[in-house]
Amino acid sequence: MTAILSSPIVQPNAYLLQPGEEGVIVGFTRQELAASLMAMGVLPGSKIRYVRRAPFGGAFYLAIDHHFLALRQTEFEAIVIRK
Amino acid sequence: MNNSSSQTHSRPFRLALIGNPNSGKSSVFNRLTGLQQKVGNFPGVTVDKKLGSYELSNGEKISLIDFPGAYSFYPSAQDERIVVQTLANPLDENYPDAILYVADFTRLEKHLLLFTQIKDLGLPAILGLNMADMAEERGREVDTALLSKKIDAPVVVLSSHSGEGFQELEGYINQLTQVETSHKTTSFYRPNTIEKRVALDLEQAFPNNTVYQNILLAHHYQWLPFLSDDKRQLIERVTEEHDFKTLRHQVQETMARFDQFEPVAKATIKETATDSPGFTEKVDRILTHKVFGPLIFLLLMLFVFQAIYAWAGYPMDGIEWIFGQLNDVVKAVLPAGWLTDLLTDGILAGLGGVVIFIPQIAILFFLINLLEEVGYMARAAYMFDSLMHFFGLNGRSLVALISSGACAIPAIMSTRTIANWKERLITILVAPFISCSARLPVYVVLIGFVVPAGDGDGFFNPQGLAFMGLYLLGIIAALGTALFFKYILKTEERSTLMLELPEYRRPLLRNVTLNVWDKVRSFVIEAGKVILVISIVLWALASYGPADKMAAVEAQTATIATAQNLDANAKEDLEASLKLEASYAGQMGKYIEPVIRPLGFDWKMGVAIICSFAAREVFVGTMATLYSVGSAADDESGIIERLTNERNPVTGEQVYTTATSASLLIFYVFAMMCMSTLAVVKRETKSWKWPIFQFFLMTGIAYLASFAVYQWLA
Repeated sequence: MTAILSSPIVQPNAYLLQPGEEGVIVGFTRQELAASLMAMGVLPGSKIRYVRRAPFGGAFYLAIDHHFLALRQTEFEAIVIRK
Repeated sequence: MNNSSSQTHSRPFRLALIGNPNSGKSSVFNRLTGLQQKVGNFPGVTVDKKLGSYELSNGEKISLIDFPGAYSFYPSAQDERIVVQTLANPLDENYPDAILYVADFTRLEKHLLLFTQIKDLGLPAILGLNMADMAEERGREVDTALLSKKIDAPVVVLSSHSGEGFQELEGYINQLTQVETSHKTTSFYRPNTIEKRVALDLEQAFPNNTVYQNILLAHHYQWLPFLSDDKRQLIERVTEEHDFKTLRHQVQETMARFDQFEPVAKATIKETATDSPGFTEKVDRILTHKVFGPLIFLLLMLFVFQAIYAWAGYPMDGIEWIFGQLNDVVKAVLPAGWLTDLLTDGILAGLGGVVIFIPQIAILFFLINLLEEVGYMARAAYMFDSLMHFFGLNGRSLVALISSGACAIPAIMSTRTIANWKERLITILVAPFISCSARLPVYVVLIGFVVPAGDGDGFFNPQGLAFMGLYLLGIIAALGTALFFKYILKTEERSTLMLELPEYRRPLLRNVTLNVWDKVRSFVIEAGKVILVISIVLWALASYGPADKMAAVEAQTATIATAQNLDANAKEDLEASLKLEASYAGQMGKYIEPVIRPLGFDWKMGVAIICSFAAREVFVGTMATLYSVGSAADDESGIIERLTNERNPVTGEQVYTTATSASLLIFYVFAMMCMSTLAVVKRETKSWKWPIFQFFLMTGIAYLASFAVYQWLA
């Protein structure tokens, strides 16, 4: 079960996505963010698509399985994906 | 079925509404309760607990509690805590008999986490699948019978728009009130070895708890308020002994639960919609566009404030006219005397000062609520997060700052959704700088003395622009102080943003109007009480004074009148103005006059400022009372006219010059003059330190700014 907390060196994190690109979530790098992200529906196995960046930089507009979420870079980076 | 158990309730059956944020929970609550609802002491968007009552078809009344939206029993923000805090404690005064769990039908797979946690507490629950209309558009169908069997709870498909499913829902609620509640726990989650051991060790101290309740205690013992120190220490010992790591167990539990219910949800739901980008995504290409997004936001805000200025004028004129008429009627019907004076110059003048705000408050709340209902506010928070972050705030602070344009009190309460304490504290400290609706009338009255009226072509009149300038000044002050606090306040806490961007949806007029009604009502009642009392006290203070001084006035009037050969009317005016000066109010104003003289204020303004500390909205009422007491001529003339006619009795110069009015305006932009706000700040920060600090900071800035403006203009 702790496998969902993986190291960022082994797998790419979502931050490497380009706008419009999509991936599948496989886990998180930071335990303290994982539980809250998961409660909001950001789950291993979910599709994640990077839609766009906020007007003044900063937050990321993401689609998680057809639903939309805004995250800052720290949270975005904590998501480990498989392209 | 029998109805024996319904008699065993000594109090009404209590049903709690629980669900994720954006599940449309409040719409369901509003649909069920209508006007039969009340909020705590202050208004706010489901931030505080809302209570309502609902009558079943058999006549039994049950009470409903609307809890703040929460994603799970592991809260990340203050307002989410109330859910676990209440449900983990069967002795809590709000502990419900049953739960109505509201989930967004369109995203059921993600909305059941909290539901399964609630089921594990052994509470009976109904699952309401809300937003049926949106699910239908998408071709989403659910096998309610199958789902109901799998989750061991009645399932009902609801639409707050059309009312679909509400009759069926009532049937299920009815059943819950009839049947003895069974404390059977369904197993959505099998605790692991460590959790089991911890729960077992806590069993002796908490014999009535379910296993899951004890696990929750192990997670949250550090902050749960109902635990005694002994129990807290016990739990701490137990968790240490078993090496219970709350974060790790949260993640594992959440994962295990999703693994359990996601397949269930998927098996019972059929979806026929295509994969094309939906309406929301298309709209957001423009509304959150790098350039158009912020531009549209600014235009929207400009529209909101122009709307207040343009639309509120007519009803306000109407209200002023009605109070003028009432005044005349009272004066005509009742004999002249102190009682008539109290009624007209005290009570009616004060009441008028309250009622006159209603159009502006209603329009502002209506528009802001509409934007919130549609789902736009979350976009605004997303777009401006980095900007807000720069100032030490959070994207969510933006919503609070905008609501502050209506009233700082609900705004400060809404900061509970900001998880980071420092960001929340800064938002609380700077929100009152944003010009609230109570400053509106002061602006309206005084702007006329500083900026000439436009040529009447409507949208861009100079007064409207000056008005916007005052708001901008407030915003600049708020952001500037926020930046200052960002560097002086220290915190170890991480700052995060996890913001759901809900699908755009048709606003429910019922929700918006109920919200507006709520706020207007609480304004009239809460602020109205204060204003009315102050008006009466003021009237008394302005009408009476030390006997010797008042007597001296009469002699003085007679001397001056004979010397200057005044007619009866002028003599009466002179006497009234001298009397006011000699009255208790006049004495108080005079007492502080040396302090406010450099700002260009006279003692009458001093009286108004003193009274404004109770609540800013008192200012206009105070002015109305003070000047109506002072003028014998025409009582029905509006406050602006009275101020224009106000002359210095010695020099005969107009009192409300550009410099004085501008200085007074600036003072009202910055000064902290609202006891209710300070009280809320104390409640939210749990210390007097912050409200006191805030008071001196804001009022200090106000004094210096007014001083600069007056000295420059005069």
